[in-house]
Amino acid sequence: MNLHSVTRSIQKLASSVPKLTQASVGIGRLGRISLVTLLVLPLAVAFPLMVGRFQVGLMVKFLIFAMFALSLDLLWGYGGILSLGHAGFFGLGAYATALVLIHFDGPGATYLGLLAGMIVPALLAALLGYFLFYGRVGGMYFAIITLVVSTVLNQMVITFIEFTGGLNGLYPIPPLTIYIPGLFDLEITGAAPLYYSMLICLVLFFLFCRKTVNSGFGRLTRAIKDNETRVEYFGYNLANGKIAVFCLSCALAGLAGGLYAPAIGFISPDLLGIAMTTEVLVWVAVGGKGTLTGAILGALLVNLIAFFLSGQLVNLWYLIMGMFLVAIVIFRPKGIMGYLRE
Amino acid sequence: MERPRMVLETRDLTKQFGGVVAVNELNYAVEEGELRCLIGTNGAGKTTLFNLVTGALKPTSGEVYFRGVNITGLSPHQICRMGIGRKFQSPNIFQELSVSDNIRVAAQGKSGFLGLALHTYDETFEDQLPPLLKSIRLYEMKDLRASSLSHGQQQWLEIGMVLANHPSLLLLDEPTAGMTMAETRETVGLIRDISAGMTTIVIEHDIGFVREIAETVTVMYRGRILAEGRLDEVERDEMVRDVYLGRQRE
Repeated sequence: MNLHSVTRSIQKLASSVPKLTQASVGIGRLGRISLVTLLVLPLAVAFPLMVGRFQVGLMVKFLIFAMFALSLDLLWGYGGILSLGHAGFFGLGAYATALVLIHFDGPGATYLGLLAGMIVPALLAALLGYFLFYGRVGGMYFAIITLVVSTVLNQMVITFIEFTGGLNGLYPIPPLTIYIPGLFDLEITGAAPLYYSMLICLVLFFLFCRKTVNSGFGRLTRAIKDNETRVEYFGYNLANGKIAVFCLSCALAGLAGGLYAPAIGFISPDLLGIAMTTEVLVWVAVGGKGTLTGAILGALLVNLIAFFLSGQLVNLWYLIMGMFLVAIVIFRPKGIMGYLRE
Repeated sequence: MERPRMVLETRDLTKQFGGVVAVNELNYAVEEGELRCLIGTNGAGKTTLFNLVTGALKPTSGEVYFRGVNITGLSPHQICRMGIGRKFQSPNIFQELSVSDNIRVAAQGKSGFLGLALHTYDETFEDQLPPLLKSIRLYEMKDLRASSLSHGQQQWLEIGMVLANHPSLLLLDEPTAGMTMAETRETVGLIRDISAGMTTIVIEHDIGFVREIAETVTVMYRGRILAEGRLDEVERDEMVRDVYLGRQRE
């Protein structure tokens, strides 16, 4: 046998060793992700069997809040644009969907309602973004203007009583229906069906957001957060880019609100209020902004802790919750997921 | 004789900051394929000239022409899309992104946001990525976060990013600032390679560096051109010696 060919095959083998290790590392990572999914998903699926109807109903709300948190994370965590009025867009979506569902009672009303719930906030975001981002309003000034806008929306909802029910809110709101022409027109009612449909929606939300942040568009979003000037000198229209991120985030917030209205069946002006905006900021900050799983984790965790504490310590829970949040901001500024990653 | 085609031309370009005239009725022209050095003392108006050309600043009066088109008053992204690439003085990169992602963001610059939102990332660029990373000596670091690079490497990364953006006129503002001797030497080679295919203007303080790379040198002083020509000619110029190079004792 030719000695030369033997040496060559040994060399080949040696050079393939690093590739093999790389492959096993790849499997390792995949394994870790699927391990988490394997643990969390059965738990999420079995949840309605383990607890009472009331808890399942609560979880429906928290799952929708997690979608809302994802929409803010896209804007704040990835785009670096802080909005202090994100609840305004969530609530606007909820009211738009609710009004369509109440006034239009035909097949496919749910689709039309959810579409309105996305488009109305997105249009408002486009209009605001056009004037603010082309006018080079950024940072804290942008945040304050969004705060004002959501306050104005809140007041408008309270004032136009004939449409919105004012402070009493809107009730009842027709349920979500899945309509396929000629096949079925299925109403989703009851805690467990709602829970499962919102769980599916959350997974879809998450997958969409993950695809977005990993795309060229998402990469550019992170680049804008990092260095606005440099982005412009590569030929990007910076204002358009920020408008795009803002619109997308507000459309998703509106969609979450649009699901909230028929799923919970009752909406009130509180949904557009400052308290709600503060809460969603807290969920994202606690979970870890700039990580999608962090936004979901933060929304679920903070809401669950608040729920249990409010049951156990009727007077003290706000204080404990506040201290917990302050501690997170001081000691773990990157949030839970940010800490776990490091 | 036919006049060679000008890539960049300024006509009576003036920029005033309050009472200070940073660029003063400047008539500056660069021909196709040139490698031009721009030197001058601090405050001579070199970086201000770059800012006026790239749209970062609007001139008080006068015009800028790029390949015969008046680009005065256009915004930075429009000017970039016409083909002027710029490297800033201190490294201006995306610190939080990986080295490869820095290049990718730069390469996609002209596809615009809508193009990016509607299409997935153009995979054909992935083939161009390794040779580009090798040419800026950063191939081994391609997956590292840009913030973990040394100062000199960050400078190279920014040069690579500007190249990935495919300009036809390259503006380099002190590309060797803060570099070690060895890095500076490598940068000389890098800039020579680049300028072989592209009109390039380099602002530089280091006369040794200028001697290595430049064919034509422009000396700016108080917003005007003091002298222009080959480096040895410019160095013999009395005025240049007075204000910039310092008088040699006879």
